[in-house]
Amino acid sequence: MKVTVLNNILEANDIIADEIRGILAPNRVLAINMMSSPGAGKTTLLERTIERLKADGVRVGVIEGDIATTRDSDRLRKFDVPIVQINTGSACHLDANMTKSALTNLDCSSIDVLFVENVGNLVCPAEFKIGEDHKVMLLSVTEGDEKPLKYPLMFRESSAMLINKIDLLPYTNFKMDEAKENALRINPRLMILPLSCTTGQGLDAWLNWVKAELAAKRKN
Amino acid sequence: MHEMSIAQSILRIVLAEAQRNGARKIKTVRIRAGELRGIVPSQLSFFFQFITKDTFAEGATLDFEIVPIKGKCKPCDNVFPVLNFEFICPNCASKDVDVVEGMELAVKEIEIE
Ligand SMILES: Nc1nc2c(ncn2[C@@H]2O[C@H](COP(=O)(O)OP(=O)(O)OP(=O)(O)O)[C@@H](O)[C@H]2O)c(=O)[nH]1
Ligand SMILES: [Mg+2]
Ligand SMILES: [Zn+2]
Repeated sequence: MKVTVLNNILEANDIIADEIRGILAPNRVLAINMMSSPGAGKTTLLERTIERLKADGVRVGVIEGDIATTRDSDRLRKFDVPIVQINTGSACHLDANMTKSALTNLDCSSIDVLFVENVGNLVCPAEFKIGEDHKVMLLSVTEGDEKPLKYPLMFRESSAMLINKIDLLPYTNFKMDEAKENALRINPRLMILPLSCTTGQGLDAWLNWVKAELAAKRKN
Repeated sequence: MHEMSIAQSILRIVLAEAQRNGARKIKTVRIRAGELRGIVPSQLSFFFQFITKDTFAEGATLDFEIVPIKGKCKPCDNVFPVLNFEFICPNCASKDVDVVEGMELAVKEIEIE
């Protein structure tokens, strides 16, 4: 016997993602889901970002996703901001369920921006909504400029793409124009910001983007 | 792999559906997967086989229907196939294109006994 089902496979996750939006909404917390390949510089960018936002009086909270270790959260302890660690075990991505339980350990009324560092992986995290306002992806210049065409969903779903490690451009064959073109083909609305966490070049544009998004969220 | 999480969701859905229909065995599960989802059928089948042991879905096969990406131009309403992830309207060259097909991920049908 054949039975028509038509059941969205990601529905269970999407429902919890909506619940997370509901948890963040009363305090208008801006939630940013940070995604990249392993080692593209998510934690380093968070270090630079927290430093600068704190100086500007923006209250930051962090959820750190990692398969097994607490290395990344340990690196962020020195900033004295609320951090919740999620160890995903075998899963290569955060899902809404893990994120929601992490949130019970955060006081949302004391945060303006919540950064969620997803597990280093370009494929899986894009599939699972976690109640974020924006997906932001990092691509480092050591990874090559053809990535967008290999992992289209993440590029399509992201609001911004940060091209990190531009201090290394002279030592790679990364072609900035091609990377931008490939990414914009998939997502013409993508905000592309080249930067270097090492030299600080381009960081202002990124911080301004975050602040503008926070202001927009607070306004309406 | 996200295929593992997806296999688990599929299993939950089909077991509930089988129960609702009083079935004791699930033979086939038809999946509709949008091209943008980047699902690898062989991987998903592998995980599904692994987790269905000792359930009504043991031995069930996954059939895949991959849905190509279709875009809809916002300025001119033209609906067109998106090839090579090129989101540009062939009619008016606008890049303001919504995805109307290619993002689905659903259990479409099951065959039960
Ligand atoms: N040259 C250079 N190195 C950088 C830059 N940003 C980060 N790195 C280095 O890249 C390496 C990986 O950075 P992380 O911040 O740990 O990367 P990640 O994305 O958090 O890595 P995972 O959490 O393991 O996925 C570190 O050695 C950083 O010092 C940059 O702008 N330039
Ligand atoms: Mg990290
Ligand atoms: Zn058009």
